[in-house]
Amino acid sequence: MDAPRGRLQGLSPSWRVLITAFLLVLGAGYLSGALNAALAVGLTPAAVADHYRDQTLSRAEEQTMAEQGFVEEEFSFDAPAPPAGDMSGHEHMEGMAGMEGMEGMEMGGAAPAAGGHGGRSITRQELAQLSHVHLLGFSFILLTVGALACLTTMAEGLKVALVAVLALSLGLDIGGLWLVRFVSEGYAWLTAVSGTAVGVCLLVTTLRVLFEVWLCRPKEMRT
Amino acid sequence: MNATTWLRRNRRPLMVAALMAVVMLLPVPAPAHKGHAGPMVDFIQANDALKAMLPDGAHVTRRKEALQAAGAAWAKSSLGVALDDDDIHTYLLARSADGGPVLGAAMDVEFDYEHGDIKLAVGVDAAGHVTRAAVLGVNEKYVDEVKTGIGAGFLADLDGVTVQDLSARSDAAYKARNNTAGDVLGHLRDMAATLAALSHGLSA
Repeated sequence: MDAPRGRLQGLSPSWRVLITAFLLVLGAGYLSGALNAALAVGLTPAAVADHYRDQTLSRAEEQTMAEQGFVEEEFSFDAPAPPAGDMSGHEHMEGMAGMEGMEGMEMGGAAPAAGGHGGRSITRQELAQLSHVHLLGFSFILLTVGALACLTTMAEGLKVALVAVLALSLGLDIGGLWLVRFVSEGYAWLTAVSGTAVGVCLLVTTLRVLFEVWLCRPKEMRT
Repeated sequence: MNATTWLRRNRRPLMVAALMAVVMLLPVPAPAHKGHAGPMVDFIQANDALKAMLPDGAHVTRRKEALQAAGAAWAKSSLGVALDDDDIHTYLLARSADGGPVLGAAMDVEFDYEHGDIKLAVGVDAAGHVTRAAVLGVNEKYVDEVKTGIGAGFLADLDGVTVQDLSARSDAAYKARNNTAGDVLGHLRDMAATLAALSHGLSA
């Protein structure tokens, strides 16, 4: 099969193997990430919203709060302690305290104190940590996959669009989590859509690169 | 095209990619991450501390509510403390046994402390004065620092103080370069002011 001469064609076998292996590992990495997200959070916008939203109030308490402006329940110091891992025993005052740490996750087991029955909200510090780890990795993916896309013989406009969508999606994938946590859980769709868009961009680039590396013969080599 | 030619043609983008990869893979300073401050060391269980901060025999409920703008304005004008009026606070409210007037309130909060966390609790009476205040716990790495700077467990010298006293003590601690005490007293001031404002709204 012929195509306009590109930089990925006519590579030596070692380069072909390297690029192919890289793309396969990258694809496996993406699928592993998706699997992890599915197991830990869920892939639907509703699941993302439920995991990353402000959990100061439970769903039932949100309803009560909306109706009467406060939630109040009987409290006894003699009540049995909650199971380990229940983070309901303490309030988190991020607005006054700044960022909080991962140690909070080890606070389970304390008897119920002033904290409410809602779950534990992910903190700014945890979100910042999640963001910096992911975004640094994303930038490497963007650079490598984007570079491979740029080396293909696809139309320039298509390459620009592909790289731009990939970059935007990688950013919004994380940005959406911040919006869900601190603005509105309605933004959960952003993370779901951008995560899918990342996968589509990786798939398109991978297929095109593999096509040019293995199936496309450079014109000067035809005769 | 052989690999050498390909590399030569693409040396600039490859160099940029290599440089970026090196920069991205540089280790982030470990101390910048929480989780390196050791496990949380509890001085007092929150339940025990809060119980001691509220009057015996009171009817206790757990409330969650945001401080309304009026409450925040009252805290600013009456106590001299600026509070956010959008956060939802969770606290214990003590009323008389028959569910009558407010007798006091208490809350426990976990705050950021250096690369770990510190857990504080405070109670106020119906007049908004501190009944008791306590450092409930801190990460292992900072136990000695906190004990030296402000103390661990109940802070007996804060019994009965006003919110304004806490402000003054916090300022004095900062001036004395005791940032641990300054931070803790500042947090306790905000907590006490929040409780006083919330209780004031219920009593008004």
